[in-house]
Amino acid sequence: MTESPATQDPPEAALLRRVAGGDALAFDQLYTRWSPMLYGLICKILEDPREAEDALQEGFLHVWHKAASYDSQRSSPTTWAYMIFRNKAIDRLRSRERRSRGMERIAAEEPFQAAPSADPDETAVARERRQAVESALQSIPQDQREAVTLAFFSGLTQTEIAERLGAPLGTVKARIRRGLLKLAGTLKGKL
Amino acid sequence: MISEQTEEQASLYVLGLLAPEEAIAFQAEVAIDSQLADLVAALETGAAALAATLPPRNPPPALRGHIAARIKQSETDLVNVLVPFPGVSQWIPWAIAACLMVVVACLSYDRYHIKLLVDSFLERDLRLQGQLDHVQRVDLGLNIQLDNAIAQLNVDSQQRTAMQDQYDALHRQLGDLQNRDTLSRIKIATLASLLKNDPQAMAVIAWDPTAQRGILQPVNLPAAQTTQDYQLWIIDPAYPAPVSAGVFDPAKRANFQPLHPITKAGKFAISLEKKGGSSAPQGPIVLLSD
Repeated sequence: MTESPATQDPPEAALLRRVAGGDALAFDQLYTRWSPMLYGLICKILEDPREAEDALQEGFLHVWHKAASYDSQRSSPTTWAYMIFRNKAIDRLRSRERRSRGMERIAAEEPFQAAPSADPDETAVARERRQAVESALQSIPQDQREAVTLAFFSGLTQTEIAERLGAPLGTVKARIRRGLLKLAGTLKGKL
Repeated sequence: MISEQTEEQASLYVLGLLAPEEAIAFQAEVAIDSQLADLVAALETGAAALAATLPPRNPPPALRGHIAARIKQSETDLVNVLVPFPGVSQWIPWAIAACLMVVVACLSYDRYHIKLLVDSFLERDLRLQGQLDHVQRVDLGLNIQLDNAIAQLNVDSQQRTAMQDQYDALHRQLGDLQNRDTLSRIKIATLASLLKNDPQAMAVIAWDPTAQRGILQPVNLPAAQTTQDYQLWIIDPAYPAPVSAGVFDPAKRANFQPLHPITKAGKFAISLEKKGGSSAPQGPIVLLSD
């Protein structure tokens, strides 16, 4: 995610190619590089360490088996990994919430919270990335930001998001569309 | 140009907010629309960037080993599928594999057989094509010969018509000549009456010595009595006695033919004979030629 995927072949892409060939060492390197950020994402979504561990295992097994499906022309390796692990966590969350018939946990939660700015384990590259995204998020209107972050992290349906935000469904969809487009446009070339 | 509605669909798709059937339909559109695929990729980058706002968290150290073990286990499971174990469930994949091998073998055999058939058909097709070419050449030659024959036939027909015309002309000439010859050889004889009571009675005879027949025309000859018949005789020096030419009705013209071949008709005579005629003249001579 440090460079545009079409202009340079990042090391992560090379590692992914090696993993696709069954290179366990490359997989171990990827795990070292990715597991903190991905575990952080999963914990944010699931808020259950044990379930987060299961989701992380599941996600990395997916990477091991599906590394060959990565297309460097379409996205960066980090984006590819984020979306895989996010979807795994959302699936688990929805499955769990269906079982419990409620999402009160999400209701009490702030839709978006900035991460702590000082983390001793955070790499310089990760820090730059986070700062760029935070800056981009601050540049879009509050209602759009709320709609996008709630849609990304909560696992709620469109209707549930509309209820949560107290806005018509069409309005929420429009907010999500505008917010996501603006975010993508602002971050274009920066990640 | 992508519409706002499509952009909205793409945003919801990226965030996993579409119903499963909608997501599948949209994915199909993405697969065939590169512009839409680019939009989805950009939106995914924007959405994934949200995750970068989160602080990293180190997973439990043991998790790496667990993942490695699960990967190894999955690899082992994959290998185990290929290793036979006792038990019915373990044999199922082998049975399926065996069936597939049989199917593949059958298909391979069929393919080989079909290839042989195709080759033989091609070879036969080539052979038939060669034969067809030969037949076409022969047909062309026969057509030429037929045309020549028809042309020759036309010539022959014209010649035949001409020859037929010549033949007809010659035949007509021959007929004329024969007529002339017949007329030239026919002997006309007049028979005068020897009857004192009927001196005006007479007869005219036309005799064709070639055809050995003649025509008798009686004139003023009185009817014979019911017990008698007029009988015609030809006097030929070759015979000691006159040769009979038959009895006749004096009131009608009659065709006659002598009883024996006549070499030279010297004279003709008519006599009155008993009814039915005689083999030799016995009654009186009533008419006699010169």
